Amino acid sequence: MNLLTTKILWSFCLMTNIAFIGVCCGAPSQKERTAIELLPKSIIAYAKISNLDELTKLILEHPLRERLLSLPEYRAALKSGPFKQLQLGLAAFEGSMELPWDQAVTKLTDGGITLALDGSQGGFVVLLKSSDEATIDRFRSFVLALGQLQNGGKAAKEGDYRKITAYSLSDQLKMAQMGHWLFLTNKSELGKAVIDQYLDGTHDSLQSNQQFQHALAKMESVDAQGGSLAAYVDVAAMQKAGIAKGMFSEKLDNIAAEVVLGGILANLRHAPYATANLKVNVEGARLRLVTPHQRDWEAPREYFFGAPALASAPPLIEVKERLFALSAHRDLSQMWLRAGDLLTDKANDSLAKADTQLTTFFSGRDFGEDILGSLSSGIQFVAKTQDFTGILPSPAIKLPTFAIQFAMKNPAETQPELRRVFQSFAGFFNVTSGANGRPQLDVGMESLGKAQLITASFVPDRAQRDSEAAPIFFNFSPTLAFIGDRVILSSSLKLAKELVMQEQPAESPLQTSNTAVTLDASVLRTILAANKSQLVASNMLSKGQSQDSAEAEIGLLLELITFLKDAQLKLDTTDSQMQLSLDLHLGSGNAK
Amino acid sequence: MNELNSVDPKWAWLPFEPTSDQPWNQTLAAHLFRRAGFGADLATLDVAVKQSPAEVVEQLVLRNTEANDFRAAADTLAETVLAGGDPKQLSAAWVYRLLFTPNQLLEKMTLFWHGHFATGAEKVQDARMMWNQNQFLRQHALGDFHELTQKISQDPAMLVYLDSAINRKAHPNENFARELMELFCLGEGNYGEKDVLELARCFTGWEVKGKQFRKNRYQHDSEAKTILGQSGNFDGEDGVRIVLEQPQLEQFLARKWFRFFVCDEPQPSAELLQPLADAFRQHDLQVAPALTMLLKSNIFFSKHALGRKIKSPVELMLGTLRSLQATTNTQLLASGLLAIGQGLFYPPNVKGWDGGRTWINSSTLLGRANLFGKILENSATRFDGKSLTEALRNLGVRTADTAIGHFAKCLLAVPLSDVTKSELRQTYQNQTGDEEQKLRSLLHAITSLPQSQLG
Amino acid sequence: MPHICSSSRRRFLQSSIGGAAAIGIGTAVPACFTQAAEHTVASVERILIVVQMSGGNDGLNTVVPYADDAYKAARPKLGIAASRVLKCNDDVGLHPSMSGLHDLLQDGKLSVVQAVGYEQPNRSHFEAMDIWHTCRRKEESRADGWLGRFLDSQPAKLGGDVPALHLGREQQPFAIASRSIRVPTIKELAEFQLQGQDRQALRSLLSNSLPAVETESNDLLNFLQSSTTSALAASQRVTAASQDYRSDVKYPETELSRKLRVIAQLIDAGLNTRVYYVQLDGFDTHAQQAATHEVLLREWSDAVSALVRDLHIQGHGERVCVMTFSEFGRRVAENASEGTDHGAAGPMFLCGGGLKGGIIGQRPNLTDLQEGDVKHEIDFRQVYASVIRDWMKADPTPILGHSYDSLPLFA
Repeated sequence: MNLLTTKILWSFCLMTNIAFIGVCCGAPSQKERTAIELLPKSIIAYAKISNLDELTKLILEHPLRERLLSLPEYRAALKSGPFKQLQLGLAAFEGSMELPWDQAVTKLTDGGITLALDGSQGGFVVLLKSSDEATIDRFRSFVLALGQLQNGGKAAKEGDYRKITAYSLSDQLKMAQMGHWLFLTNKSELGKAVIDQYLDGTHDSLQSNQQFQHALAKMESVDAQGGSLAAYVDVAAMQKAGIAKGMFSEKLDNIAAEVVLGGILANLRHAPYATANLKVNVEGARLRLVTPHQRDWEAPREYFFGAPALASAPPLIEVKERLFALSAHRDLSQMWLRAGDLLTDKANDSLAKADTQLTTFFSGRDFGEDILGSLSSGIQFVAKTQDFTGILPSPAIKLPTFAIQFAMKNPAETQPELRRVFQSFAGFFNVTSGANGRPQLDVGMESLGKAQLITASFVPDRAQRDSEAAPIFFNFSPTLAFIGDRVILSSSLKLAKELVMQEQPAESPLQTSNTAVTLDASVLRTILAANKSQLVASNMLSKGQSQDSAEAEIGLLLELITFLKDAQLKLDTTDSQMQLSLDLHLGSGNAK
Repeated sequence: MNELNSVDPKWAWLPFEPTSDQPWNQTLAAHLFRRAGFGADLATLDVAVKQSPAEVVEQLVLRNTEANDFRAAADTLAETVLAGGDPKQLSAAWVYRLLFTPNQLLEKMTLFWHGHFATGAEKVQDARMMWNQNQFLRQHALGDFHELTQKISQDPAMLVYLDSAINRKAHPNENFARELMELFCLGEGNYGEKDVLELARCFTGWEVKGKQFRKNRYQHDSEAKTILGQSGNFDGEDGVRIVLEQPQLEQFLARKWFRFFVCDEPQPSAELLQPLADAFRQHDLQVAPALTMLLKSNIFFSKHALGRKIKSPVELMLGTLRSLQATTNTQLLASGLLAIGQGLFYPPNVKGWDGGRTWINSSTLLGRANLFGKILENSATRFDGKSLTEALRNLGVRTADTAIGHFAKCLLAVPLSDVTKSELRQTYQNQTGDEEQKLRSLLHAITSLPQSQLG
Repeated sequence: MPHICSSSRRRFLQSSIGGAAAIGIGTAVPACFTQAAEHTVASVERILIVVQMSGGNDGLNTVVPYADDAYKAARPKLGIAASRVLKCNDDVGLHPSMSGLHDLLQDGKLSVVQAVGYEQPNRSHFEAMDIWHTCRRKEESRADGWLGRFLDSQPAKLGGDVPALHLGREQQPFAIASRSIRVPTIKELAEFQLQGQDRQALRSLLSNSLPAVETESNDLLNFLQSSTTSALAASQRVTAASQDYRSDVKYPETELSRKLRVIAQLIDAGLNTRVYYVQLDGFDTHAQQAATHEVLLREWSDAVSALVRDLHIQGHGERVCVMTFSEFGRRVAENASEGTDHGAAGPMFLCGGGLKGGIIGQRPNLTDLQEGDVKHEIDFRQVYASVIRDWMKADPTPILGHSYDSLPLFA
């Protein structure tokens, strides 16, 4: 009797246990899984898109779209081959989903879209989650129908894995639906792994990947407003897998790339991972790329960041009608002298040849050590429009004026050196001008308050003196200005004077930024509009079309630019992380 | 081939009268437009066929002496381009003009004079100077040869190109004097070395300063000179006048025009050219009447002329595009023309372009085919503003065979053999891609045939 | 001289046109095809490749008089020590980075002509280069270059391969300017081939539609058809040569080397081109000469020696000569910026098979200078005359304007 009771009790316990486990792992908890829990641990790239509805709303309601639709060329383009196919597809989609396409997309993805790349086999997977299972169902049938059409009428092969139906849309594409989830992948092993995760729960999923969790914590939270994308890349794994080898090479081929990006690429070589965050809304877009950073990763490029302590860039120069400004901390002298460690042999050979030429120009002073070495590591660059009213001769093509500003380490010594260099450049230019039909430079000196300016202006021919269509040279009146410890090399006298009179802020607002860039689109538009006839002529020649068509195209280009307001880029470095931020602000699209 | 020189010179220059053996049809009209300009599309040919050949020629000549809207627009384009100072862009601006101009004969003659009074931008280097010369050539292209020669001898670009920007009394610069007689007016053998020296003395003091021409009287040798049998205290203008008075002048130019308009080879005899030469002299060296006579003549429409010239690169490329009402990236075209031997504003040397068989070698033939390929693959290439498929459809051309026939009619001076036509058909069928790609490939194939190089 | 049939040529003969001609199978082979095939095989013409060093190469540090005390005295910083030079004989040695050319010298494939120049040397880049290109001074009329005149003197072969080629992006050198022949400038091999997406179809169309015999009464059409055949054949050969081109020689990754490799491929393709011209810039070393000069000489030496070796392996070694020159040498004494300034006479170099090899001329006398520069012992037109008469087998006198004796350069 005891044995029987024990058996009955035991089976009862077993059954309740099973029932209990069943409750835990049953349908309701499967619904609550996140994408991270469904992905295997070996994922090396991950991206999640949220609030897609905001994005679609933005596209549909943006005044730019309205503007484009009013153009006959755009409407004609919409009728062309590939677009027609897209529209047919869209109509079919709407039919299948029984909703207009934007609502369908919203509903389909209101649980988020996730894309991932798996390291172990190079497989990728796209996961969609919806709050409404029926929507997922309809989407699945749509995709199957589409696949059938592409396959020439053959229905997709079906397979079964643990009671989940999987479809083989093509050799490279497989699809399966799991309740509220739908995913597409190119490797069946990966698909099976996802299904396993869905059914069995927490095995070794991405959830348990420490590095990923670390990165996830760092990624900004998803805002309520605006479509967004959050991504993670396991940089170390990519490097091992040999993807994008060019980015990870120890020495660079391109000198310019080294100066601009050297430090960033050095960081990537050591960083274990990187995260990206992109937000798009009606005001614009914001991108943040972040990697961890450690000071001992920097060598031999520590001069990119600042040695011995992390250095920040000087402030961005502010002027009226500013087109573009750049500010960076770069120890150019050290970079030049250490080029052997930073650049490939081929690049070093070109640098050696350039050194000879430059040293000749600089009257025998060693370019790297003497010239670059006399300047501090803060570089400031600014460009703005030029105003030619009242100035004759004025050039036919109106270029912006630009200037670069440094601080001198030893003004008393450096000032006469640079002055002599400027004068010999002008002299050399003049000697070869005659032979090449260029106007000559007239060099002079001016004082403005405490500043000393060495000016050079082009001398027009008698006939050209009152011309309003003078050659392009008349955009330039190169000037070298000294004030205090600042030295400014400007393409025009006016800008030099403006910069010389500026108050220098006591402290740079860019505390952690190593590099900062800003661009003003409305000023860009002004400059392009000032040169409209040139753009039209160039368009006529390159498209072989009539003046009217060319003017319409250029007019459209100028209008489109009004939809962009400005853009900023910043590189911030601290002892623990490096962040690259890009901000784009959209404008209202008012053609001025 | 002695046939050409057994033609009766009198008959050769009489105006062509259509007969039943030789009717005035599209073939002849196309030939006229190809030679007098670069080519005409079928619509223009249809209109021309309804008139008489003489009427069409007169219109061609007449309309080229009027100003019109297009000229203003094209001039503005050139001026805008000059702001950049790049002669290569100026090349593209001329290509643009050639593509769109209604004044074909004017442009063809400007091109002729550009090769005749050759001046190269790689030496002159100043786009404005090159442009000024070009405009001046255009202004007088169908006008008075006296004007043309007098003015070109004072053109800054020309003098710089011939290293004649300085000419001193103590050491007269012989360069320009020699080229004036040898290349521009008389030809070798029609003057002596002494004449060159004496003529050089006439030009002493003529110099280019600050890109402008001026006469420096302190450097001018005002003593007596003897040139080509005449004596006196001649200055530069007198020197040019004397050269222009030489009777060999009209034969020299008639020969050049014959080669440019009628046929590359064989060389015509002096007897054959005499009536044309005489007409030129009788009209006091006015170009238009002489050209009218040439373009109306029997010899021009005879078998000696039809399909007897190798198209120059400009004739080939622009002729093809104009005949199909096509437009393209003119910068691409301008640099392509330079690569295949006829860069506008970049003649190879002071002799200009020899033409004829010298256009052809393995490098230029491949270059011609490749340039067409590049143009046809370029998205900027449109036919009457549309795709090739649409443009052909509008003309009722929908099949491969009709397309082949259409292209042959528009572009070729000699007929295609059946073998070739079937090869073309085969090519079209084997081509992958959509209709547009297939048609463009077909066009590429036709323009690469040897028959296409004949104009 | 028996023509060595290279592997690529054999392949070409076995393929399309040439094969049919040799074996005589298939339809009757058009006359123009056989002519083209014969032409290919018979190409035994001698070829000259000119390498121009622009800027004024410092001859004294290229061919170093290491034993001369005057040299060491004049160049305390820039002088190349005797221990570092690659010795040629007891007098001179080559710059240490010229290992490639030193090997050629050992194999008798390099001739160095010392102290080459001309009277009243000009020290301006443009003027000096024009003199070297045209053999005329400023006062005389300069309508064409010495190579242009050479091309004019050759019998005209209209419609076939171009007789000379300039490779590079620079403006065409005056040396090849000719009154009657237009020399193309090409940047890459592709310009010698049919391009475009439909090139295969185009090639077969053109080949198939060319008639069997000269049928036309129109001479011009006949000429065009045979020229098209030649052009296609040339294009075919170039494509075959570039695709199948296998050389055991490793060309360095420099611009000059790339151009010379293209030339090797064109020569192997059997093009009838007789003159090739390339330029290498950067020799104007007024300051910090040591590093730059080393880089340039290495680039030049490695590229040229790779070319010569490669041509030898492919079987063309005996008919190609590479001549290198510069518009002037540089001053004997170094300047204060560790560089040298414009000078006068300098060495010329000839590389290839068919040479006598060795160092020709006297070591420059560094104590008897002309305004601080090396005096010339050999007029550069003598070198030109030797090349034109003994190598290209033409009469140099009308080309150069005067009669010059040949130097013992060629075997």
